[in-house]
Amino acid sequence: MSKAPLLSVRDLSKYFTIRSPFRGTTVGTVQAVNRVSFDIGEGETLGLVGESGCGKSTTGRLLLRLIEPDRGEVLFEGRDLLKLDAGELKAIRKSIQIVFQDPFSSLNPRMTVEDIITEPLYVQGGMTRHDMRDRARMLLERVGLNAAHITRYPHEFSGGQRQRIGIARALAADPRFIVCDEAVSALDVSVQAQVINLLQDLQEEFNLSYLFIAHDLSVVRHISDRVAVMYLGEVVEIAGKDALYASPRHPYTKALLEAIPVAHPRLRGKRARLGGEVSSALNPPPGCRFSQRCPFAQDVCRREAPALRELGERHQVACHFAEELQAVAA
Amino acid sequence: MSHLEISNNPSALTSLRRFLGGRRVRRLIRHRSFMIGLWLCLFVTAIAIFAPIISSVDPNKMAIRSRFQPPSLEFLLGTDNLGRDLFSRVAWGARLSLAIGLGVVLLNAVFGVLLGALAGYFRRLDGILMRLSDALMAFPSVLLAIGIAAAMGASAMTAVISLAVVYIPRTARILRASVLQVNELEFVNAARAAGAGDFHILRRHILPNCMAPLVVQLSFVFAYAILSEAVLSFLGLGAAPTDPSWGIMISEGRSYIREAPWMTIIPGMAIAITVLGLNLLGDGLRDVLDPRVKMEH
Amino acid sequence: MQRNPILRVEGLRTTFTSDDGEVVAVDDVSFDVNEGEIVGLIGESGSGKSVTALAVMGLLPKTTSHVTAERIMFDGRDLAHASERELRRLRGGSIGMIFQEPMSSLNPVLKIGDQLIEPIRIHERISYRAAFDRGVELLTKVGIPSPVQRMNDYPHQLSGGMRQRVMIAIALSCSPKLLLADEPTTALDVTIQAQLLDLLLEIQAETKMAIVLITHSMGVIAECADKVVVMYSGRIAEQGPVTEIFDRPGHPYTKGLMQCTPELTGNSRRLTTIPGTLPSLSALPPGCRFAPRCDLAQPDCVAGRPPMIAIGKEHASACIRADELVVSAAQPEGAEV
Repeated sequence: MSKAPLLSVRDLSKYFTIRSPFRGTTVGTVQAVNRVSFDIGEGETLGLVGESGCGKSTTGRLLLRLIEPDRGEVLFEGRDLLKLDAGELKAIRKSIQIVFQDPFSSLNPRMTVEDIITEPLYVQGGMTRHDMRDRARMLLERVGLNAAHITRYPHEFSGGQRQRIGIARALAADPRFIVCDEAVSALDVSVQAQVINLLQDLQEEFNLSYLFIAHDLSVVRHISDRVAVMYLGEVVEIAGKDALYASPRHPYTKALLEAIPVAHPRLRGKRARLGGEVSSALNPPPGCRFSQRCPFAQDVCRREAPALRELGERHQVACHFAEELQAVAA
Repeated sequence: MSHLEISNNPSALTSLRRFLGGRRVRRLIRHRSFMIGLWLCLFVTAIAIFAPIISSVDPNKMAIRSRFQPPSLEFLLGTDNLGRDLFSRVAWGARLSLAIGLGVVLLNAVFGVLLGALAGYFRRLDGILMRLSDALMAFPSVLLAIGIAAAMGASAMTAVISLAVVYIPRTARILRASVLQVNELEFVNAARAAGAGDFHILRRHILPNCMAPLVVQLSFVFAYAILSEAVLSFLGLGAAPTDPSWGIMISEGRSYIREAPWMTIIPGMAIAITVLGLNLLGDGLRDVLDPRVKMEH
Repeated sequence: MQRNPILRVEGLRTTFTSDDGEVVAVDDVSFDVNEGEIVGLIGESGSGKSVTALAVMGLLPKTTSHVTAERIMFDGRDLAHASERELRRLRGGSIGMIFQEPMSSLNPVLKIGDQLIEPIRIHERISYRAAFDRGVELLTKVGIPSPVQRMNDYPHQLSGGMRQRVMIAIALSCSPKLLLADEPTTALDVTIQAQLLDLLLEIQAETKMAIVLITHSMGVIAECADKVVVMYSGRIAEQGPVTEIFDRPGHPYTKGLMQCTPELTGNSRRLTTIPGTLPSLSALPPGCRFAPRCDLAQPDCVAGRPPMIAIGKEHASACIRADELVVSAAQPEGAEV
């Protein structure tokens, strides 16, 4: 891929200051997202995985400027989204959309399906009501719902159907890039597969790029081209999915993969388990953030934060001992 | 009720149904105290509307000859110290009370929503607006109303304004709380991601979803306004002394409480019935629309 | 494995009164849990899996629900016809429970220690001191570091995984013979889920108690269960030993569930899906409730409720075409739909 990526994120950071409720003094800083960098090519899906509180959702929202980043660059088609003024930002929002996790709170219960789907068009302006309605019908059919249901309210639909409505809304203004923020996590298994297939079909049809944020590693593997793993606000590993799942280089990625339940009862057996709990992103320790739980941690890990570095083709890892671990595993 | 859904011309009832949702309407109908409250309120409203028809006598017409008549067939609810017919006065008093209550509710709806929405949505205004409302709420409500009414001079309009000033901060607070809650929901983020501006988000997404607690709050404001208006009028700070106000009637009856207890009891009952009706109505609405919010007083 | 059932549920039926009238959440459900066995109760939303557990325990609100059963035999006693007092004695005593939400199942204003000691002292007459020591012992057993200090912590001072460990300790406090675990790991991260499942297995191996593990995840079943009960729309679709179920699923729904979970190894372009949506409890289809979504459905399927048919050793399915299904599964990589 010699072409410039569609979206290119550099050193994206967001810090939240925690104040004492009584004295108003600063207790500390939560580094919710710390110097995150990645690229997403045209028509590509980057999976973003990690445990709760690792900052994966915040990262998605920073890209859309639903939360204002503190530092960094988000280059979309070569333009830095963080430097745009209100008017330019509004115009570019057509191209970048989001699908949310919760099929219930993501649709306004007081609006009809038509009003929900056409809202991006209405806000952007330049379309007649009639054209907007036609487009809403088309989109509703496209996501597998009955176009005649356009006058209904969200409560008349099931969770999976609501998620389809949310997808139709994201598609309304003809975007190029969609952030799927745990878009299938809240759905029942039998419905989840349908929505995953739908997302893949739409990607092919409209040449969409996805940032697919999820905690379910098997879903991420299925849908992504490349996968980024986050731990406590930082990206610890990015690689093509097969490389990442087959030979993870970061001890955290390895632990995460080992924690996935087996697919068949015959595969049961003792596996190495990661001890401890995800520590807090409030005032993180110097050095590697994973060092407290890492079975291979050395003194240098507690002193110096490892940078994300290239290790093989398009395989980036933030670990001082990635090569050694690789050798041990082999 | 299904025929309402297919009617092309949405009547007031269909829009109410859409607002409440058919299920909620059914639950309200099954809610016993709500229905009792509703009937009481309808009863008082009917009396207020039809006051000129049902009271054959002018409420201010004095008849020295028939002073202090206890309730009888001739004077349904008796007469007062000036021989005025209490039934007529209570009926016309209902007009005044409901009008004042409605005035306070409307002012609350406009300014409470405005201030609450501003404070809840634009966090920079929140500090100033909420400290102001704290300052107003720090006074005992009736005392504050008395102060304002005394400063502006007694009239029905004064009563409306001073009571509005007392209750607007409370309404604004409730609205602010629900704005904060709704603002966290994802559909607001979806609108933002679509490029929607603040005004659009407030009007299309946030306010329509804050209506349930607002309606509940306003029904209580209505009740408290009627009660407080009676207090103000009783103290001579509300309606003009010649108006047939329930508060003034109680105040006048006070001197004759031994000789003619009905002069105080009857307007007192009128207040009690109206306030009870509104409170039952409000409780029912709260149970069905908004089970989490409790009134702050 | 021993053959004595510790819990035998027969003909359990649960109805709820709602605005839409009466809905049947659990419809004639029967299953056994043998001593020392882990039974996985799997289903999607509305399948009635959680309601089943709550109904067995008599924990459903009496005002809105109605539970009937031919028999619910637990350890020689019939819970279906037991008094509220007897049930209360069993809950937290011979039957322990853990729930999905480790935050809301602990009282936020009481110390961990008090919440642990209380049930011990309700069921046993021992001194505070002895109960405290037992509490510390239990916290150690569930893998909580520095247990004595933790006894004085409040729930909000612990992480989700630690809180769930505390819940397990509370459930274990009276050495139950049966543990009902309702989605115990659903709210937790994968690494924490793995730790907790390991812990449950470890404790089970040591105490030989029976566990009913309610979950929506085939992975959790594959990892832990000895026997599986698959529920769909308030009824049992299939039940049997775990390897049987995975090797030869006897119900199209079970088969669909396994196929539509993305695999971690192989990677087909498209996922096989179960078409349609879960039926609403207020508008259930006639006959087999899975029929509207089933590839194999035929007119007979909607004619009446399909009976449980034995298709293997302790393996039964509520599908009238179960035999064909099992045969086709036996062929390696049989015609995949």
